[in-house]
Amino acid sequence: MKKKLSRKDFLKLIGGGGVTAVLAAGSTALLGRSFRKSGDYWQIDPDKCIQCDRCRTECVLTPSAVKCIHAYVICGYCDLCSGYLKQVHLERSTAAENQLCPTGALTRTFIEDPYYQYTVNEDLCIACGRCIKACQAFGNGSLFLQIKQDLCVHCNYCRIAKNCPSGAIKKVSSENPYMLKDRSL
Amino acid sequence: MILLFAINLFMCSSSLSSQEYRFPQPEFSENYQYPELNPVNPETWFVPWMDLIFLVAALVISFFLLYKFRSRTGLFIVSVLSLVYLGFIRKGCVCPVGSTQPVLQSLFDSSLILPVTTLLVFLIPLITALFWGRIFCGSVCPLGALQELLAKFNGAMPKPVSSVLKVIPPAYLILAGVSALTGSDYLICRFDPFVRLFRLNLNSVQLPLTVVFLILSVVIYRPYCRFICPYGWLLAMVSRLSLFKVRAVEHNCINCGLCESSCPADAVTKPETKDYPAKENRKKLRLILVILPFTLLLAAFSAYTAAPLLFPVNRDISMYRALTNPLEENSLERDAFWGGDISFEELEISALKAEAMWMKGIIIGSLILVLIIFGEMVLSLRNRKQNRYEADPAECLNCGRCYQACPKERVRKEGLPLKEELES
Repeated sequence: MKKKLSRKDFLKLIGGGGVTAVLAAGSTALLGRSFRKSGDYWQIDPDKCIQCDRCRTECVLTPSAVKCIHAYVICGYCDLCSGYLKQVHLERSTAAENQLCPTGALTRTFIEDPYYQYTVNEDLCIACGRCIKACQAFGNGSLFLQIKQDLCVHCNYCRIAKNCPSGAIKKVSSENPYMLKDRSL
Repeated sequence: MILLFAINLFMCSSSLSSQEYRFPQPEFSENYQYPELNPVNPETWFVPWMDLIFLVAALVISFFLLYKFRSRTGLFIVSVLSLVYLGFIRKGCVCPVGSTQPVLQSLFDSSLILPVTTLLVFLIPLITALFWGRIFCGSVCPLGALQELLAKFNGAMPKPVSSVLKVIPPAYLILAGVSALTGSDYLICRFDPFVRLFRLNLNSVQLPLTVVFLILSVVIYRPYCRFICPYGWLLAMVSRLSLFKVRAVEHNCINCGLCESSCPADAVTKPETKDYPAKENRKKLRLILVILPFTLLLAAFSAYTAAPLLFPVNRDISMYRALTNPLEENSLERDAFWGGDISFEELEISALKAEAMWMKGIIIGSLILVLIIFGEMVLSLRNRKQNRYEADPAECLNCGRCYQACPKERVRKEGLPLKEELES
């Protein structure tokens, strides 16, 4: 014997149908827009970054998910590297007292005269931006800060993005998750 | 002024033009290979989908545990598993609570990239709530699971206090909604008390908030879920239409009321014993409808006065205010702005646009809030026609404690003979 549908249950059914219709309509409207595969990926625009040190302090992770990256094709491979050596230094060597980097993350290797290669050890980099600031000011600007997607926890709204003074951090799609510096033509 | 001009010049000169570099590209004599710039790609694409699969599986399993097997132990185990995976392993992001914001934002800003996984994370618990009630809250949400673990006391809260506190979730939803759709900030994420425990990062300016909520969770049952969570409010509204209702025992209920006294969320409602006081309620309804227009006007006026206090949440507005205020001291933001490539006129336009959006949003939001409050008051006057104890699906957090408290349910579970059989 089938139970007769009460008025309350009928209204509930209508209400449920209405809510489902609204959700379906909303979803199709959003589906029609730019829809990317998955995930929230944040990237720093290297041209806007002013190396203010907030990438080190504002990230929800410690140490920060931001690391210094070296675009080797732009680098001049100079002996007197303003990003590696302090402004006032005793000699151009790998001695710690001459290095600008507070954690010693930037390493200097001799290639051939007069070229030296500079590499970033990401495990030591804390994203303070000092080497980048100097490289931008006195060098070619081959060093830049960027969010490492394997370290980043992909927050809904990046905390560093909220506090970036120049608004340099924005969301990117999962198809193109990195904004890297390259030698422009 | 001269100082600003000098800073501007310095900034321009320090940024390199794309055509030339200070030092030429090295000419290596030997075969030198430039090291490859191969930054590690983000977590493989299927990890957010794994979260969705876990979410759906947990919801479906919880449905069976709640309504078919009626096991509080099972629900508790699912909630601990969810706390471990969705909470500590996946660091609690993106969660359905927070996903409300990008979904709302993308409705108003078509340039926003909304991942399909985020949309599904928002929709799926809502759809299950439509049929099965707040099972997401019960055993799947990691925030709820954490509070469930800490809940010690079963104290009842006086009705007036909880009625006032229940205004907070829709108000928070509206505030966070306006903030999200103007692209200002994700307030729900900013003030989430538990996410920094999941990230195991305790050196944060919002640490007191976490501590306060951890202590509150011991003293009050699930304070965030019941009185703050905006997504929980959405689930509650949708749960009112659910087909399934939580009852301590399906058949042979003797109306002893033990389920009501054991419910920590005060969700179980009594059966109607008295006649429906039609005349009284009609008077109350008339009174409510009379004061409604005045309350709406009052709300709109208060919103209009109070909205400017919220403007600084939006960065364009706060930047514009800082630049036009001669007393504001120099900051990094101002130096960065003058050195950047956005003109002051562009900033002014976007700041004023944002101010207008905020004002509109807050005023409309306050009107909607008044309608919601009055709607709840009117709904409380309706003739419930309830003849047994059952849980209000909007309040019930599907913990299963009533199953353990009910004597008839225990009889049914343990296969004990019914009293009638013993006597015969």
